[in-house]
Parts: sequence; structure tokens; C-alpha cells
Amino acid sequence: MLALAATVFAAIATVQAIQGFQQQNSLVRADDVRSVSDWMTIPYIARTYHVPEDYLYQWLHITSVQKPRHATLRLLAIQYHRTVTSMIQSVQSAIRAYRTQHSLTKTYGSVTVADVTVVPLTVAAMVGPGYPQGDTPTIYAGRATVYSRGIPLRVPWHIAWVPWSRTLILWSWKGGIVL
Amino acid sequence: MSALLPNLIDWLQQYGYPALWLFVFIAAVGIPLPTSLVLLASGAFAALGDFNILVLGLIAVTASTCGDNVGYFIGRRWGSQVLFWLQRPHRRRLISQHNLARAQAYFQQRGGWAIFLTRFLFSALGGMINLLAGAELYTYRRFLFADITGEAIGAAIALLLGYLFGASWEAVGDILGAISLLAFALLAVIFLVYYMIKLAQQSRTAQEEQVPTRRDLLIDEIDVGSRKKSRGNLLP
Repeated sequence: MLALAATVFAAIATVQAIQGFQQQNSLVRADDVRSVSDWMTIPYIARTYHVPEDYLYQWLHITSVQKPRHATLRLLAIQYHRTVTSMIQSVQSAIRAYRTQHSLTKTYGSVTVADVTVVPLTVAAMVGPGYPQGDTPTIYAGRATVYSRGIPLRVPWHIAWVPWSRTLILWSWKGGIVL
Repeated sequence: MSALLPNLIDWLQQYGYPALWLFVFIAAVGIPLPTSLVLLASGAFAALGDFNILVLGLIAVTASTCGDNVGYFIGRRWGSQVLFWLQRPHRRRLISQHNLARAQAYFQQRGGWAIFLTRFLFSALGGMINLLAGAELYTYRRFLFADITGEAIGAAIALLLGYLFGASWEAVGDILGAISLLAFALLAVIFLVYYMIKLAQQSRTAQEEQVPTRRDLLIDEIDVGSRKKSRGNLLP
């Protein structure tokens, strides 16, 4: 009887764990800021939520010359005499603020690009038509929601913006568009 | 979730691979540390380029094998003496000699599976099984083979799941823990059901041997009748 009760208990625990995983994973996949946790480092958050590292450091008032790249949010909270919860909340508001500042919606014919989040990527060497010589070669890359004739395309879209040629490149696993 | 886990992850980020080696080694010796969760987190960090997943795998397997070997040799050095002491005749016996001999024979026969499965499915029992394998003087080569294959599977599962599911590794850890518990409970139920069926069969056979059937009673009656008859015939 005890073994049977333990089996039932374990089965319920497994189902609950699977449900918890589904919830957590859907938050992570949607880049929802609620999935920010105390074990994450600033570079980890930057890469997961497509926000520049320096922007996060500035927001958190971490101005030391040597950036604590390997410090988790928990450790940063201890170092900067803050609670872990307030540190997580600060990071969440930083991501939200960055998204608001950098969110844009543009329409190119029948294609609308919305909810764009981009990160500047410095390219080491770039030679191409229209590229302004002497400038730092930077392109912007991130994610976007793409609507075709007002209907959202349900595949994850990646985006790259090449400022010097004013070209927007969109691609997904199905293919790419150059706008 | 273990209270130690946030500290372990902090140290993992601060000191990198050597810290991971140390955690896995300590846990394999038998000190309870949530290393499967640390491995899941390492896999998540590796997905974003903080660590190399192959190096992580190598570290996890070498550290856990070394730790398991420490446990095995502790068992071999001191555990076998304890078993020897238990086998000697005492006034008050905790375990009967017959049961002890049966357990030893069973471990020699099926110990490989126990070692293999406790590396990834019932990892909480790993430390105890290492000590037991040493105490039972289980063949070292067989121990090492089961240990390395089990640890490689365990490390691959944790690292790959962490790598694939990234920031959801905590929830994946909950699932793995629950599955381990479920597998253990199911195994206990299966064993108990099998044992009960076997007991029932044994008692039925014993009853069949003891209780005379109707046929037996009829044969007895005929036998008694014929004896009476023959006795009557003998009378002058």
C-alpha cells in the first residue's frame, strides 16, 4: 500500500513538473522578462533577451572598469548591497525600457515588421557597395514579428538592419526576404 | 531545490571548470550535492558560449568516476571488514547469516545493473552502492565498466538537456527528479507484486502437499475396505 501511495505521489509530482516546465519554457521562448532568474549573468541576459550588455550595466549603475562578467545576479546583489528581488526587477525594467526605445513597426508593401528588438553587432571588416569608409562597421540584429497582409507569420523571424545601405534583411528557417 | 545550488552556480561562474570538477567529485564520493542541477546549468551556460560542452562532459565523467572509485575503495578497505564482522557468530544477530549470504550472492550476480542504474536513474543511491560494491569485493573491472558507462549517460543527459532548454533548466531538473522518484516507486511496486505472487504460489503448493484431496480420501477408504476384507478372508 505504501509503495502504491508513493507511486501515485510520484506520478502526480511528475505531471506537475511537466506542467511547470511547459509554463517556464513558453516564457523563455517568448523572451518574457518574467523568466529572468538570479542565476543568470549579465552577458547571459544580454544574449537571451537581445539587449546590449553595456546598456544593462549602465541601468544597474555598475560602472567599474572591470565588468563582473561572471557574476550572477545573486552575487551582484550581494556586492552592491541590494536584494536579489530588486536586482531582478531592475534587470526586467531595463529590458522593457530597451524594448520600448528600440521597438519599431515599419511596413514595406504588404509586409509589416513589428516588435523589433535589435542588438548592434560590430563587424570586424566589411567591404561592400555603399559602405561608408572610415565608419565603424555596425549592423543590427535581433528578432521581429512579421505580418504579411496583416496576418502574423507564425515562424520566428530574425532580423538584420544594415544602416549604410538602409537594407533590412529578414530570415527564418523557411527562407529570407531583403527589404 | 537545494539551498546550496545558488552558491554552487556562483562558484561555477567564478572558477569555471575546476569548480565543476570538484563539485562532481565530492558528490560522487557520497556527499549530497545537487550536481545534476549544476550540470543542467552548465549545459545552459554552454549554449550561450560560456563553456565548451565537450569539455564539460569530459570533466563530469572523470570527476564522477574518480569520486565513485574513492567510495568503492573505502568500501573495499573498511566495508568488507564490517561484512566480515557481521558474518561472525554473535549473541544478538541483526541480520541472519543466511540472508547475508543471499544478499552477497545477489549483488555478485546483479551488482553491475545496480551500479549502472544508480549513475543516472537513482543517483541518490550512487554513493551507497559504491560502498556496497567495495564491501562485497565486487570485481573492480566490472565496477569500472558499469560506472563509466552509467556516468557518461548521466552526464550526457543533464548537459544536453541544459544545452537544449537553456533558461528552463530548473524546470527540467524538477522533471528529472520526479521521474527518478517515479521510477524508484514503480520498481518497488513491481518487486513487491512479484514477491507477493511468488509467496502466494509457494503457499498454494505447500497447502496442496499437506491437505489431502477428495481423490486421496477415496483411495484411503478403498484401501481400508480392502484391508478389512482381506482380514475377514483370513479368519477360519
